[in-house]
Amino acid sequence: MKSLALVAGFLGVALAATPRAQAWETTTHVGLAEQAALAADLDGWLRSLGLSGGMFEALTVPPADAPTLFEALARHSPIDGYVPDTRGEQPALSWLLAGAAIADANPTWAANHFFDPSTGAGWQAPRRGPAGHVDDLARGIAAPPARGVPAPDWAASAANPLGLTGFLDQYEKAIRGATPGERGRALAGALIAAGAVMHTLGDLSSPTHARGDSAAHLAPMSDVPGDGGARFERLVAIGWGRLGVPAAAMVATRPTFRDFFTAPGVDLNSAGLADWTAAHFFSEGTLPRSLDSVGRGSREAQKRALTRSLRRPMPSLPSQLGLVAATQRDGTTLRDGRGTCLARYRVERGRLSWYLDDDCQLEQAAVILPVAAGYEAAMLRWLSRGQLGISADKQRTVAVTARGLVLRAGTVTLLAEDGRGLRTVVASAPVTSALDGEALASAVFPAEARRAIALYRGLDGNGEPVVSVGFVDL
Amino acid sequence: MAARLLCVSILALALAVGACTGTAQRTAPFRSRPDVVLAGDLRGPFSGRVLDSSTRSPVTGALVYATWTFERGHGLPIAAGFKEAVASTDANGRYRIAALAQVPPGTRLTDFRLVIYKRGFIAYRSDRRFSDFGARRDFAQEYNAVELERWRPELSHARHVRFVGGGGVIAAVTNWEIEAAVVELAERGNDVPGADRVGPYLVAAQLLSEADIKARTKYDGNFETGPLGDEPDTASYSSQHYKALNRNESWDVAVRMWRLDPAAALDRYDELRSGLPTVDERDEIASKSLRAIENDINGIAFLDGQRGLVVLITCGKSQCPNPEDVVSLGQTIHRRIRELWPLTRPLVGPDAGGTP
Repeated sequence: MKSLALVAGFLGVALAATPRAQAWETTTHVGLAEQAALAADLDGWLRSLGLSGGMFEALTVPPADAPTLFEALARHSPIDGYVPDTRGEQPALSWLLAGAAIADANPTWAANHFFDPSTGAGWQAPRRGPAGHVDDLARGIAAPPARGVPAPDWAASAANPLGLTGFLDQYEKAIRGATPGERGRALAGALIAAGAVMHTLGDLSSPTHARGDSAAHLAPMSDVPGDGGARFERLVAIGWGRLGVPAAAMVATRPTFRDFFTAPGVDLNSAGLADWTAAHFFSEGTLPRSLDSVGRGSREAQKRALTRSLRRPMPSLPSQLGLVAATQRDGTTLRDGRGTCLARYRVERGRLSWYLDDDCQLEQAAVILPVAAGYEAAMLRWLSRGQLGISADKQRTVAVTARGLVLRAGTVTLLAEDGRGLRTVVASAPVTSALDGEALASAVFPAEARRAIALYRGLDGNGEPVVSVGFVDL
Repeated sequence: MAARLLCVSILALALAVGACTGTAQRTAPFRSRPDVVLAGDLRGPFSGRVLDSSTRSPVTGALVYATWTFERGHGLPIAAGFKEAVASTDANGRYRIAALAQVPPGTRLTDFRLVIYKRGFIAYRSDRRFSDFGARRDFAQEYNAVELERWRPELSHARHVRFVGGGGVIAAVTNWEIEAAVVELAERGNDVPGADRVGPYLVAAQLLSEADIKARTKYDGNFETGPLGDEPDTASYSSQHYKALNRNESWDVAVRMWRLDPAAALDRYDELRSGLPTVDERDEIASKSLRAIENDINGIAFLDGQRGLVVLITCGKSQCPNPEDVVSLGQTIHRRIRELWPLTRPLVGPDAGGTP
């Protein structure tokens, strides 16, 4: 329970601070994680770990073991299905969703969910004048963090209890733990961390997060005083909620953890999610600059002026805009090759200006959400990748091989499970390298063992950390 | 400088007063009553009547579970707690939830949602429909009329459990259904030759976008999307409904996809060929394809024998006035299938062109 206690400790710090940062709203994040879990076959993965209930297997984390975690979850309505009962029990799927819900439980963490691939920077608080600061004081609002850790770094950071390291630690304990209760608690912790990693990744599908547009997060959201945030993300929450998030698009796996977040490219087969988002969509604060005197000068001069008006190379503008249509009251629309609205533009008194309205942003969200769920699904598959081949002969000699992955330096451990579900270590051996199918270790198991479990923790062929598992009944 | 500070102070005071005197709640996304267009009040009170849709008789003893959610923070807000209310329907099927007494200080009320659950019926949510998980638009604060549909054996408990949500109150009445969902998923895993199946994850929703439809038909309205209500998505079947908002069904588009082993896919295609009306076999898409017409609907079905896929696309005649429109959508879908599932070497199948 050390890691869960660690999680609780961090949350304690988090909850003491005044919240100030959020990305996709919680219902959207939970819906994305749910669709990703379905696409990645969470049910099949958990059944392969010996949980007969699959994604509906009840896992319990006693509230006394992680009081601050429960305090964080108690701030959420149970009606969306990720708040455990008073005993701390809920299905495995719900623990994954809980991680997706609490990944930005404090402003410091939330500020770590931004990444602009063009600069490599994370969150940078928008500049505000004295009036803004006095306004904050009047409302009793703490200033947002000045800077955040870039999302790919935060997700991989050992300082992040809900990051990759936290997931691997908990996943290993979920296999190695002596008792079923201990393993169930650790698996819940692993799922929370996985959900939080998916949340951090999914945030990079929001254009404001991938284009360094922190100012867009201060838009008024309603007539309620102090109700401000990212308008696009509110629209998505209203339009899709949790249950309405569409099915995941197919996104291929990536060789490294970081490549899911950022990698060069513009399509789903190669680009990191931040790169894909930044290349395909504008955010409100990164629309092309307004241009005066449009329609005058040579075609080449106009083209140069349009290119100069872009704040980023992509999305690019066509060489000719519909400037006649843009003189209408509502202007006209810039669409991408698939017909999705990228922005509206209009010309008034020779001045070309750009804006995003609700309908345009809803069109964008319909494209973005399946992609976001697809990247999250691919990430979940990556986290649970790799199995160990395991077999037993009549003499109860259990042999383990690498399966589906090339392995580098690590340790393979053989565990025996008895009729009461208690697990003990039978043997452990270092691995220097192993090709797919190559033998890793073998050992003779005691007569009382009912099941043999093989566990590898180390690096895969790409040098990425991995926990791989294999089971065989004796 | 002094003048500027004065201005700033006045602004701050105004905002502070506004924050104290404001109603601290968002506009409700539902009506106050079914027969009026005025927005309701998130705080409540709430009332309604629950009937059995098949008999029109009251449903008594149904669980009515409601929550109010709160947020705090300016700029980038976070969850700040919730209040819940639990009730049940009386002998006349009526329920009543008292108004929220107070919004906790320093927070704002952002949402109210309600679930009605009775074993043997499809649950009701105030925000979403079960059939397609689309947004519910007929919930009303008072005099809300709820018709619960009887549970049908072909429906998915796994999907229903996700729909209903969680927490202690809900879990107390849905534990039996979670067990049913576990069994359902286990049987599905055994039934479907899916565990080691070749090919990527693929569902109907990935195959056609709203933009694809608009690009072909020049439709300028919006769609509401989600699975069709005819049968639940499984590992071997998925569907996507593009329901035209504020238009009749002749503007709708639907995609159904069956993913089977090659022999079963051929059987499925043959069933469509014999079962669909006014079939015209053209073989213009994938391995085999046919056009079908029924009243106001144009349809096309095709078989991708190598991948074991059968796809049926239907499009209302207002959206797709010409059969060529739906053929074009079919070609788009098949192109996307090939992108999502490239074949590095031909698989052996009915139309794979020979055996090893």
